[in-house]
Amino acid sequence: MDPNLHAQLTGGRSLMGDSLGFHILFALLGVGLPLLISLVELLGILNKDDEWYATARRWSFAMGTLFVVGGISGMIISFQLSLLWPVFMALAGQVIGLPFFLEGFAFFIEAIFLGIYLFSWDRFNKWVHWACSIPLVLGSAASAFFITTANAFMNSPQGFTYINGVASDIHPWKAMFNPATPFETSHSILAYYLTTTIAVAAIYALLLLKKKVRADAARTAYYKKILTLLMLLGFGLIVATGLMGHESGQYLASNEPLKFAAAEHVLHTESTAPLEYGGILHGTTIQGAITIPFGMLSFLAFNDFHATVKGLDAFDPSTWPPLFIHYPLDIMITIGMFIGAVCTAFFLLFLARKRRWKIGEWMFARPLLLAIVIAGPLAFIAVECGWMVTEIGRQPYVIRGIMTTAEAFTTAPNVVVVASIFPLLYLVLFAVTYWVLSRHYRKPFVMQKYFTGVLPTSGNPKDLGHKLKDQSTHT
Amino acid sequence: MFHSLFASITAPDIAYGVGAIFLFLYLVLSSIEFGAALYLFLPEKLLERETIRSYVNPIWETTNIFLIFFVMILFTCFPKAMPLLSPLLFPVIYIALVFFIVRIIGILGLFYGDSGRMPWRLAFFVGSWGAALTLSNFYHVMVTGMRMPWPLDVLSISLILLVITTILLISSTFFLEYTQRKAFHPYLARLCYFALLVWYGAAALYLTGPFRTAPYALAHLSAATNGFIAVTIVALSIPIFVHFRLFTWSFLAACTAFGMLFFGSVYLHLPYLVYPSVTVTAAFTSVAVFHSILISGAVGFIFLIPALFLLYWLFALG
Repeated sequence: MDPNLHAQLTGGRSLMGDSLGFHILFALLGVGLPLLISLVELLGILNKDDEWYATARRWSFAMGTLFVVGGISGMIISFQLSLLWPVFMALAGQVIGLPFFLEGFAFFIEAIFLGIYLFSWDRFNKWVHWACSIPLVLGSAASAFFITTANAFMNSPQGFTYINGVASDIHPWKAMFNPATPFETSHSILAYYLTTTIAVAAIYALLLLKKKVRADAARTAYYKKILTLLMLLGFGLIVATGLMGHESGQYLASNEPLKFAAAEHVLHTESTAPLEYGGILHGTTIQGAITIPFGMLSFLAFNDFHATVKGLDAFDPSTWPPLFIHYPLDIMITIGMFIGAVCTAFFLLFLARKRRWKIGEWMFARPLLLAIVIAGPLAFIAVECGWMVTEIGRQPYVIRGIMTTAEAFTTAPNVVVVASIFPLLYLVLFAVTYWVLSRHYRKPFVMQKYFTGVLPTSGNPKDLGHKLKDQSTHT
Repeated sequence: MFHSLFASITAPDIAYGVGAIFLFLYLVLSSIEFGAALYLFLPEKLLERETIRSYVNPIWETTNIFLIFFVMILFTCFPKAMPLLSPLLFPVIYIALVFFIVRIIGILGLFYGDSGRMPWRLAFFVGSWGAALTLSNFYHVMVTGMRMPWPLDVLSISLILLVITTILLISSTFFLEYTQRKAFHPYLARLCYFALLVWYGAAALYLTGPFRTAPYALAHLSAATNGFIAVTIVALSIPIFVHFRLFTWSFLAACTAFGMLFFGSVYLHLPYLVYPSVTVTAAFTSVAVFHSILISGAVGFIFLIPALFLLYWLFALG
């Protein structure tokens, strides 16, 4: 390939990767937070508990702010798809245009009800207000579902015939509900819910680690109540996400064996294939990996210890994806196992506490709280790694087996320049978002404007100064 | 006449028309917001920032979705135009996206960070107006198949002037209406008169511009002339309504005048999507995808329209 074209293509890939990587952070919170907020608000209404209700109201500010950033980063991606990959869009628009359009609809519903939800706290009664969160929850999930079906199509194209650059015999619904759709959509959406839950739990765990908070019994009890809900929810979600992850892996082994072989680093087709975990790549070989023998990979892929797993040698090397996708897969699985261990430990300690066993007192012990804090950012890294496996693992194709990324690329110049500017802009946007959120949740005078719910205070409730200070540290 | 008109409407025409409606709604709503970005620099005693904030904050995100919908219709209904359109629009859209990010930074600081400081207002203003002016290039590409030249030609100048004055015209009439319960703002009225004067010139230039650069439009010359006369008459009613403080009508007249100009141009541009290479029919998606979009769109709007109504009703409550 011409060096200039290669540089342009690398720039385009990195620009798309940066944009998707940035967008996914906010998109997943945009999917997860509405569910959490709706749940917490419902608990507040059902239990007539102002603490839950006030919590939902406080979280909704973060939801609104993050939606703003997710909205603009989503808009950038929608433009970028055509600007960077016009040949891909020329084909995709004819075959898989439907989910793109439906995603727009779902996003529209989400945006409308976000506006209604945020600005009607004092206008509707509690049940009507809570009902407004339902379209928000469904709209955000539908938005994620539709756009992921388009991605699933890129991994598992069907519903059309493509000969000499012309698409015919097109079935848009068949293209949308392709074999990868159920696995990709369910695994990713569950992961978004899990990540949001763990991220919010991490904030509360961090607060509980603070000496000042631990000295305040009322506030500690309030935080513990929220953390318990989040971690129990997290336990259910990690089980579901793990199971769907396993199903997705089995789907890959059967339907996208090349991606599976590259991600699991299976060089040769073999039966009773061992599982290679970790290690460092040297060309096509891997060194220092932990090998789990007895056909563990065969079992994970096909539920059979003696099943044959296709290796990279079964495919033309020119169609191999970059082999470094072994790293993000291992990182994702390691983080998933870590979060699973933390959630399980919390769940077991919760059961012990219910039965009044002494060990149940460790439920809010420092090591576990610290582990929850660490799990928060790690969950985001796991989602990023998951998408890296999906996207980089499909290379060199943009639509697997149909169109390469190079063929889909634009002829426009200056892609490299744009690719070097946008990451900086994303950093600035990220910093401003952080500033807005931290300012909102720390400064009492800002809080007063939005938050009128009841919060527990440890001092004299008539002391406004104390109350404001109290509110400022509630998150 | 109507029968023959409807009988000649094809699927690409429907998609083209629906896309144009979404673009028009975006242009009207965003004009109000872009105008608001300018009015934030006015002294507090002339127009309270809280008034602007109370308008922009709840609905601006919905405004953006109209643009996203337009883009989605363009990409999904006319995908075959992308290989030609994309390299032409590449620098234009990326510059606009930079401005959009700057605008969002301003919005975050102003409306979410609760800070009215100059840097946020400046970011909101530069981002908004920068994006608007950059995107005027989009129409130039559609009409000529080329990006705006340098030095600017007549069409480019008229487009830039039109963008500026349309923003001022629509936003000034809107904020006259929006703030009338509190006070009459004479400077907004004066701004409206001034914007209208320049708008006339820009509209005339704009209507004659394409005839210099796009010879196909000569076939529509008589329609364009009649259209211009109609636009002139409607636009003339704006200052009359303002004078008699019928602000709702003045805003509607401003939208109608702009709408006539916009939809007139959209109609005259047919059968091309990008002149002279791509027609709407040639760029059109597969019939199967269009049908699925049409059906899902019809179902979607059953939910969408009441929801939009509810949002704007809430917004109207103040």
